[in-house]
Amino acid sequence: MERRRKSHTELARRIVELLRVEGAEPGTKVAEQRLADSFGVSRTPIRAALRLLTETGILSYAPRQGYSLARPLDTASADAPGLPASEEDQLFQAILRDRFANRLGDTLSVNDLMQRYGTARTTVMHVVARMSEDGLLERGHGQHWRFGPAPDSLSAMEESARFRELIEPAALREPGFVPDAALFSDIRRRHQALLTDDILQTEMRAWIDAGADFHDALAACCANRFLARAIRQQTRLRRLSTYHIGANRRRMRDAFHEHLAILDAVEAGDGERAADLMLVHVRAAQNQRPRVSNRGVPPIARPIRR
Amino acid sequence: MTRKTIAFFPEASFGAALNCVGIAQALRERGHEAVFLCDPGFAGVFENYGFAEHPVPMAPDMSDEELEKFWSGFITRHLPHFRLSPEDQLPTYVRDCWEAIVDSAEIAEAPLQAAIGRIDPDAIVVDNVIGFPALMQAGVPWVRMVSCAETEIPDAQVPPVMSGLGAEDVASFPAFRARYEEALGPVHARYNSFRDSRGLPALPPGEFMESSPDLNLLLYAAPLRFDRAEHLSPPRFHYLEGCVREEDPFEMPDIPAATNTPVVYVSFGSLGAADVALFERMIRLFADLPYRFLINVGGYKDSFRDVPDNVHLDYWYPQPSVIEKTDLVIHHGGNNSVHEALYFGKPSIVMPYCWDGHDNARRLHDTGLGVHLDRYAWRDQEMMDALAGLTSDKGMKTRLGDISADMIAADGRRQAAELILNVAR
Repeated sequence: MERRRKSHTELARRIVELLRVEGAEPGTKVAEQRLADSFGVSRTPIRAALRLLTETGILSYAPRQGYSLARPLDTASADAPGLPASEEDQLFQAILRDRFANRLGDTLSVNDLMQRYGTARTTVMHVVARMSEDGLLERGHGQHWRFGPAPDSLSAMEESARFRELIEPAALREPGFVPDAALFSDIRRRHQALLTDDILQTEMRAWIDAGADFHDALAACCANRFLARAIRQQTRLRRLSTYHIGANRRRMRDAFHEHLAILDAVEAGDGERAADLMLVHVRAAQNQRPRVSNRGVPPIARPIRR
Repeated sequence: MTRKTIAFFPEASFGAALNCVGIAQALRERGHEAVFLCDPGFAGVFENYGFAEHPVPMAPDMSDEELEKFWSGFITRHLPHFRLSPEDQLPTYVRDCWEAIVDSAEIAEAPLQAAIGRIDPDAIVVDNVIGFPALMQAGVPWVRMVSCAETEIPDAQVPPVMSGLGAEDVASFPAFRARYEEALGPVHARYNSFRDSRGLPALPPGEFMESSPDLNLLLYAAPLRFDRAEHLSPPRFHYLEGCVREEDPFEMPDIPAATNTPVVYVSFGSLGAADVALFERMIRLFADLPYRFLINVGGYKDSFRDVPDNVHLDYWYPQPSVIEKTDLVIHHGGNNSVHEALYFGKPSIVMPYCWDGHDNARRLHDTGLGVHLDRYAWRDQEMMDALAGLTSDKGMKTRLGDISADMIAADGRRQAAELILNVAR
């Protein structure tokens, strides 16, 4: 694995995201100080992140002129293509990949992870800390960590969906829900851009991210911090599991149309309708394929996703 | 040509359902409307491919709890039967299934009539193993899809259906047929009685569906076909070289432990996935072999722990897209699996456990297009030899490549769509 500090890569991603949301065009100047102020960090890590973005061709640098955007940013994707994954990112994804593939048990230790992935203790500890923050790992007995609940099995997916049926419509009905026009406009632009593509032929990552960002955006507008937090956590877990478990592409396309209809209702000030549409949306995602069937006898209609 | 409406009525199993999706996609590409009559338990399957669905109950109404209990009992009762010979399955598994199938024909009759009245189709395509009076008496042409095995249409030179016998075992045909008719006598009489009540003539012993007077499509590729005493000739009978549907693209999962090794796809269908112990045994062996294994474990993924690094399990794979990217397929002899493997030029290891699987496994073995392994009596070395042999056999690869090219050129979906449109009113 190529060693790169997680903070620089992460910061680089956040810079790209900021530029994309701002609608930056090629040639737009990128000032170090403004970024340092925006992210609340010193100029040193910002400089390192800008160098990284220059290496990957997203930014260009000219002496005395500084950094500027070198190419158009994909309106559909929040990702920064070509940006190398840090060693910690790679380990984070490898652990999730193996967990969702039933290769890792329910509990593990830092030593287990060092041995399995041939990675330094410091890196493993950083990743474990990050997974703990995300609710993916919980502290167990002694030196052990335990995987927290995630939508990684049929039963867990059903439980997650039933939980979301409770919280996501409720967030839209909550007093003080204030639509964020800029955020919604960005979400809408990305959805519409993806819907012009043939979903059967495009990379799923951009769809997964845009879909998850839609749910996060609604959480961000919800005045009830507890509901917002619960939605964000569910979205985070679903986003990560979908990267590895996959999604039904045709269903994803339908879901995007449903997202847009929910945004329409929210922006029209019709929270009740938005909440109803959200409930239908969450339920629709559960109906996929019969689990088992045989000649002459009734199929079990409980869902198998994908 | 004016826009036609074609109603598909597949049985409530994935094989028939997804096979019909392939033909329906070809009809849609030609500007016609395809709609599906389906059991409520299959609701959403066809909609997922963009087709309208009309629910037709084919089984007694059950609550979720009753359904769970039913399936739990069905699997417990029948898993041991899958270890039996085809002949010994007749009075155990096969008879039980036919009882349920006759029930489904009786239950579906009234809702089927109503649905056809609403849809007013120009033709009906039925992919099932039993005749439905409501379809045959709808007053529009009907098409029979024969999509289990060629053995479904009896012939003196073709082995009896579900026998697993080869064409050269002709001396054993009469005994198996006698056993079949004996085991199914009461349920066959019940079905004939139902037909009589609907004004249809009785069928000969052992037969539950007649050929259509309009069109019969046999999903059986040329290299597998039998030499019949009575040829099944056009215009009533046509063979199709596969009806492979368009599926979601498949992104190969990241399996760093075995990068660049041959890929083996394993699927025994949704019912076969219930045999968790068999998969566990296979996975234990696979862990040390130089291949990547993608295993469709259906609804049972959560039963597996400590999955090896070279094995990837999933609830569902977009099978045709997966097979296209694999080097070998291990399956149960379901006709779709057989034909999807041939369509993409991949060799098969077939481990059948019931119904048409026995016939297809034997036929693939006899025609040299795969290896038939006993589902339970196989030895580790046999499996390893089959894997190594089939992934390195250059002669077979060339032959399968030629078959694949022929099947792709024949375009069974398009051919089926045109034949159906020709007979539609």
